Amino acid sequence: MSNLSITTLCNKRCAYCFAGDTRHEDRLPIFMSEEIYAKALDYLSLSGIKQVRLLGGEPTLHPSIIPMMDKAIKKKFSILLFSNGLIKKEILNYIEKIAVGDLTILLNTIHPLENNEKLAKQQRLTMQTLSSKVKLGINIFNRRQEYGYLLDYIDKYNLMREVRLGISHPLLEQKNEYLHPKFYSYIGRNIISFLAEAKKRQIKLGFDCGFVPCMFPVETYNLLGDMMKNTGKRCNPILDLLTDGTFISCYPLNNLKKIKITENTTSKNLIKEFKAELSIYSNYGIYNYCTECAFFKEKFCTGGCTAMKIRRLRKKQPR
Amino acid sequence: MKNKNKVVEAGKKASQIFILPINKNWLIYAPLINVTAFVNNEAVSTIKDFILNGKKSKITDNSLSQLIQQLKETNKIIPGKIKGQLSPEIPCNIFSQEFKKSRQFCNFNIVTKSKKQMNYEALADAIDWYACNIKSLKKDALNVHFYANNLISFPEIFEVALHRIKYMASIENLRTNFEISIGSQIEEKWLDFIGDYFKKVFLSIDIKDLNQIISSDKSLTKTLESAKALANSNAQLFLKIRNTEANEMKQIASWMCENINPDAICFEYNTQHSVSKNSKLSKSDEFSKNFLESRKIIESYGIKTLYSEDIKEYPVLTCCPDGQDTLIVYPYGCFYGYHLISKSGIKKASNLNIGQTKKINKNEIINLGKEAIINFRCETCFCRWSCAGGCYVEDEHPVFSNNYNNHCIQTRIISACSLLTNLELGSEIDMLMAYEHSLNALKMQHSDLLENFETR
Amino acid sequence: MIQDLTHKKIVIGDNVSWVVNDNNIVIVCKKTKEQFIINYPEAAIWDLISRHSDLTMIIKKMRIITHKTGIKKVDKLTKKTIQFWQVKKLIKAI
Repeated sequence: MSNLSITTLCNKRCAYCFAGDTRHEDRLPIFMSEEIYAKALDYLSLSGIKQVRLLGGEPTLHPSIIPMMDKAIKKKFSILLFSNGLIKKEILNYIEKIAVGDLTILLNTIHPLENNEKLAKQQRLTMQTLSSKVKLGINIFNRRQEYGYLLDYIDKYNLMREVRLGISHPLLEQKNEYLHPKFYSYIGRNIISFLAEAKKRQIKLGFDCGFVPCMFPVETYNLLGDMMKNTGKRCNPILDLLTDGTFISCYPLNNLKKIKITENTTSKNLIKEFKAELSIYSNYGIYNYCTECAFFKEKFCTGGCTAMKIRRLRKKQPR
Repeated sequence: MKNKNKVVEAGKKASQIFILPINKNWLIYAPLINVTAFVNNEAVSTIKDFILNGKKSKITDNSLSQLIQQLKETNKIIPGKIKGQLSPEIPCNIFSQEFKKSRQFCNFNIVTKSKKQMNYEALADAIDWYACNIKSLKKDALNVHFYANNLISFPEIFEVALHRIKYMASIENLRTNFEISIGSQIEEKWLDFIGDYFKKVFLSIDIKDLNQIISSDKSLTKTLESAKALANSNAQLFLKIRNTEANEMKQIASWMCENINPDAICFEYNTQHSVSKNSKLSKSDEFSKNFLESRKIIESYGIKTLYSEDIKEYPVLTCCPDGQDTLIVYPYGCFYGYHLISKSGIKKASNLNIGQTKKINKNEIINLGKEAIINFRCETCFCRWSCAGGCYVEDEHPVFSNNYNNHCIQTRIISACSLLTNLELGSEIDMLMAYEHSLNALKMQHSDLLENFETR
Repeated sequence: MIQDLTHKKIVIGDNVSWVVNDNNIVIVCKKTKEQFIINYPEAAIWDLISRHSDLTMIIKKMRIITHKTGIKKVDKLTKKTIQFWQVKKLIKAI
């Protein structure tokens, strides 16, 4: 997979945002050009990737978002649009007309803790309008978060019966609100309760990157079932393409290595190059005890988020 | 003295079923068989008849019948008396040289006159002995707690001790778990060290009121910066907040949760002491009420609240390392089976003063046996197996007292509310705290034992 | 060039980072893309260097840490380890 970050603009300021580093980079164009977008679509075709994943900032703020989506659909790509749901009417109307299988919006919901009812209301309008094209997502950044309201939204607005759970990871340059690994077990128990409730309502849960097997009690592995496969090994180069046509491994690691897109770029080559760059962080994990853990030793788990691992590193103190 | 001994003995043989007045009803608590229930007046009388008076007729109420069956359980979990062998689950305690000044509200006043330095070799010997013994007990972890309270600089002896322990662990194929109690600001280089090597950090901070934080008191600011850094490390941070005015606890709790985000917060109670006699202490009711309200705030953040003498998952013989099989290493190379006890007449058992010896006679160390001294007052209190007499070095510890002191009262209130919380009876807690006569009935009940229950 | 560091100060090298685990220390050199896993007692030496630059004091502490190992043996181990790290540019003299 690959994400195309088509704009650095955003109409929201999430405390946990991990695009923060790129948003602060002055050298990045605010919008991805038509030329680079065309190269991106070629790259996806060459790599055998059938889905265009658009994000930002808020991708619907790109002035050419409609032609961009049009072009992708005409080239027989499906679209996954990562959005905060604060979408202009004109674009909502366009998306409404797209066939259900051709486009999905992954809507990053506003949590009650963020205390922003005005924006939450606008999000709910998007859910109401786009209904079964919407998959809900949540970024877990705080122990106080509860998730039950997501299930209510799904039932009320007839959304896709699936929730994508993500952990907020730290930025290396800027400061953002992120979930410290110390609290992963606490969150793990909350997720298990949420999963039980979701199963009752026939709603699936999916994990984004950074979840580790040890955050869940052993006795719940059966309940998690296939979801366990998405723990431990989901820190792979995601391959985010920025507005200036450079690839990064992922947002939190955006300053480690950048590779310019060319007509011969394939995802296979990019993964190889980024993996080589990140291999020096492979012999330890996010916890002190990772190197003693059976999951790590047997390579079921790579030790969690690489950005978190880099955060653990000590450097010499100035004397 | 003879009568008091009789009471102790009677208490030890009692049912260990405790009955607490909670508003118009009763809380039954049997810690040794892990049974808690909320019942009415009539039910308690019935229970007493069946359990103590041998009544055998049929009970129509199924839930009451089941409760009585549970209370008849004879397989009690009684925490064992110390055997003079190491109990590996209890951390080995290592004290720094400077942990000798008495704190204002506590009589932990050890080694005040000795100027001897920590003997590195004796310390290394102690560590070796500890590691070998843990191995021989077929356990797989060395648990060590370092005490470095009230220091500006981190004691370098701990750096050496920690690495010695890890080196021994690597040879004996053991794991290590380190904890540290520390107060005051910590230099950055030691912050990293603590964050990397310690699983738990107990950081004590003296905060009288929120204004002290807002007014950026220099020393406090630096301590809070240390706390923040530790909260962001892999170590679990337990904040022990001391000397707080009761009505400031809630604001301070909120501030800590928002700004420091520790793993747990503990508000330390203040106890009367010969030094602190003239200081203003919070009344036990005020402390308890504010503690309970602060707990709600703290737990809404997903953070734990601690009160050392609170109800525990398993019953304990004593709350402090006294009466538990552990090794305690003091600065001048002395090894004890337990802490120095205050001068109020509690029996000191076989302390083993090795001094600066280079070799340890294992047989002498092994024979650390002593009696865990529980005062007779505790035998009839429902906190017997959780508070278990509290801190043993307090000057005001009610060893042979008839009455509950401030510490007892607030412990009784907090512990009862913990039991009610476990039963999800928050409304009963609210009522209890709102009505003085209800609270007094709980606080001052002379004996909580079922044996002494009388209907109202 | 391997220097005699006995009378010099030693510090962690440039572009060198490390992480402390329960059973080892992993050193990462960003420039050379190398990583080194060090166990005890060498891990103790590294940790001491991270905070102290006086080699004499480090050797003194290592003698206590490896108590009963034999002074000559531990001194030799400490110096040899430091030399190796010097060669790998993980530490340097100042």
